[in-house]
Amino acid sequence: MNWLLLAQHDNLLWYILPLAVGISLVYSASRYEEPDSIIRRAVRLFFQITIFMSTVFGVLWALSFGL
Amino acid sequence: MNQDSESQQVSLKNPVVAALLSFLLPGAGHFYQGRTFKGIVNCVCVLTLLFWGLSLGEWGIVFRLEPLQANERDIAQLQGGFQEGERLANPNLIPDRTNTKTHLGFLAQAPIGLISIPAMIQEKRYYSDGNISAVREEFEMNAAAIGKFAYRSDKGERVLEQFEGTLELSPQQGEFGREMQGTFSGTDPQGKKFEVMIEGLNSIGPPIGSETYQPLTCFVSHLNGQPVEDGVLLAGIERGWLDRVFVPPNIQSLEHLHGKLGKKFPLAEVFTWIAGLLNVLVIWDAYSGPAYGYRMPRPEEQTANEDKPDEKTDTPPPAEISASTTKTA
Repeated sequence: MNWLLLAQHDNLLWYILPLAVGISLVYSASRYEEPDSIIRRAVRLFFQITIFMSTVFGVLWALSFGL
Repeated sequence: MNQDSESQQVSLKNPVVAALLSFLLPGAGHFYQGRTFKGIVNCVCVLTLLFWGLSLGEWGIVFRLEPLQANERDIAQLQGGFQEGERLANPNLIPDRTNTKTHLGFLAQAPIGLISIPAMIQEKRYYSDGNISAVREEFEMNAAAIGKFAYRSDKGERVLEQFEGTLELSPQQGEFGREMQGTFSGTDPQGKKFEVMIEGLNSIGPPIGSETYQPLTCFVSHLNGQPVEDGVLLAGIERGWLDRVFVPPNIQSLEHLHGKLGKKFPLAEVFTWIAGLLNVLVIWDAYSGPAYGYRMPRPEEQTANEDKPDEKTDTPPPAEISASTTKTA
């Protein structure tokens, strides 16, 4: 139920997704020239960022459980 | 680096021009160099983050100088830094550069010339000698306005009415000399029409400011043809877009925006900061080409390179290239 509420609410955490997309694409574009390389690296970086931030969120959520 | 990759060259044309174009408009340098795909990626990503942030922040988050907070003003006052009494009398009327500090977030926004250059121009306009209260000057005005009208009723009660309508002012000969006179005609929230006669301007805010409305107060003598006592009109005249966007805020407008946006205020700033910092990468890429090379090595190439670790050192760098594909980060 909490997760549903989290998804429905205008939670600021969702803004991390477009930010991660933008960062991944521009950073990767500054590393390589070939479109295929840029896209592949950007996708990988996006998932790395998302997983890292989700992990941090999970740890903080666990630490603040019951507070 | 393999032979195929080394054969791929990137023409940077004039790198300084490309970097400058990327500073002015993210991605423009890449378009100039003919690197269309990267130009589109950079332009779309950076501008999307930038304008999303500006939209979230209601276009009020780009400024180089920010006003001191109350506790900082107290410290400055103790140090004798400014005329506090004069400022507190009507802070809207005095764009005061001495009570400001550098907004560090602007350093992250500055790499995007599209916003940092207009912000610097607006700062110059805001703090110019001409952008002060025009209460002692004569001018003509015919503008849409909103605000409140206060007066004392027949029973001696204070009455406050809200309005929306048109304000007309012009210099006239009054009882004590030249003064601004005119009318305000409009409607209240219930749609009731009224007209007030204005005899004298008390104060008017600077024409350039970050708030949507230019504050104005004037004395009122008649309401719908009937004389009123202690009539005061507190009006706001809508500023043009060019007179309010990217203008440094005063403490009231900044606190108002903070209160209105809440958590979205720092979020909006973060969007613009990240867009600005990403544009540093874009500018650098336009100037010197991709950091790692033309493309990612394929798995079989990686294996081959691991088998022959010293091969690269024997290969001379390609001559007369604009951006070497063998460059490392």
